[in-house]
Amino acid sequence: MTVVQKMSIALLMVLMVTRFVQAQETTATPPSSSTASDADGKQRSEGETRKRLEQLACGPSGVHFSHHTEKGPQALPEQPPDKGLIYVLRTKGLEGAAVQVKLAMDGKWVGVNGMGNYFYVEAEPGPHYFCVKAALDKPGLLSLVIEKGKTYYLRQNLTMGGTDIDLLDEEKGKQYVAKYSRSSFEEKHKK
Amino acid sequence: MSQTSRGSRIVEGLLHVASVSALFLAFSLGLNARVSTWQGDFSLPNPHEIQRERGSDSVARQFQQSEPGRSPANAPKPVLADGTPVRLKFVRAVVSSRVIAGEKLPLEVVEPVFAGKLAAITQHSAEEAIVTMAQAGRSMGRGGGMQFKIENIRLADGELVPVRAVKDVKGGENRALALTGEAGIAAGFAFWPVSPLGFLIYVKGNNATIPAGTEITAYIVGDFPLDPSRFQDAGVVPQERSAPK
Repeated sequence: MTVVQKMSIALLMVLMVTRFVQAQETTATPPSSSTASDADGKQRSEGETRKRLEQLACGPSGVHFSHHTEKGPQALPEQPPDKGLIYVLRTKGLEGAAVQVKLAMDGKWVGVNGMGNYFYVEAEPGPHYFCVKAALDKPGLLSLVIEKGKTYYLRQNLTMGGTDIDLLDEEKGKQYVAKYSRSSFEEKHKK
Repeated sequence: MSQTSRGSRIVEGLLHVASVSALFLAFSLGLNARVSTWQGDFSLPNPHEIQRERGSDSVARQFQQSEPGRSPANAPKPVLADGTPVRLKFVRAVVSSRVIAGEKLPLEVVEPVFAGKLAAITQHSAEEAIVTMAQAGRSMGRGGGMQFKIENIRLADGELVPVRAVKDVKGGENRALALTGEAGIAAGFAFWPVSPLGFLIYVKGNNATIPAGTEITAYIVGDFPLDPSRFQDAGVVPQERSAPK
């Protein structure tokens, strides 16, 4: 065995030991932020929480809908006793008249609204995560515990500062639904 | 042989001492029971009991447990009454941008809750609130929001009782922007990027925040009879509480 071969083997062994020690150190002393987060989930930073919520709420990119507004009076659904009923509406405003605003629930895009539109979805009782997105804006996020037999009104709020999702009180929500038209949409599949 | 007889004598002696001790113990326990019954029936509430009564309409009902003339055996069980307040506080600060609905927030009992003479809920015991809505500060300077509820409280014996408590916390608006209103938005749009209003529209509202130590009161839902054998008598607790710090 030549000197070069011996040195190569020695170097390789040193590298392996170094990697092993590094791996042990990583396991023993994780970064303080992730330790706090893993321990109880309450000490996350704002950024970590937002990232986590985006993962839970928003649907995959590249999903598009064809949309139109249904004309004429629309029958409203009955409140299911064992589920929550969620109306998603978009108010009329100055911004983004031609832009569609999508809503995702628990990681899946469930509908889209134009201005003065609404649609509704049902949800099992428990925590749910909502994501509103318009064009290239940062998504608006909201997390909400849904109770059975209750109705919720979420507003997609598109402003020049970004896209938000607001939880409206029942009275206001009912007023909007009464005067707005229902959205009709279909997921577009690229050929 | 002599060792065996000596051993049996020791055993006999121990048995004798044990039986005398058992008799003495039974006698003293019986006497104490009678004394405590008497205290409950006829004495005026001591200052600790007065403190316990503060803010609770349920205590009046709780004292009905010890009516004169009733023996302890057939006396009704003490009851943790419907509407009894339970003072709780947040163990740490909560910010709406750092929590997600469904997560639990740690709480601590501020002061003990008594049912008659029993410490039904102990001071400093750990409880939980559930986040039911969480939202970080929004665009256009609008504040975030947070709602949570407390569903149950754990009694000193470990049993859970339902409570009602709901809190809604809103983050403040960014006033510099809020004052501009729709006119400000229009101006910002028209003159952006020249107008400072054009930048103001990107200002985020404040998060809803609950500082550590913030108190909240939960109220017991329904009447809960307590088994006295499973709870500590309150007569012992005040001495611990009044110990100098």
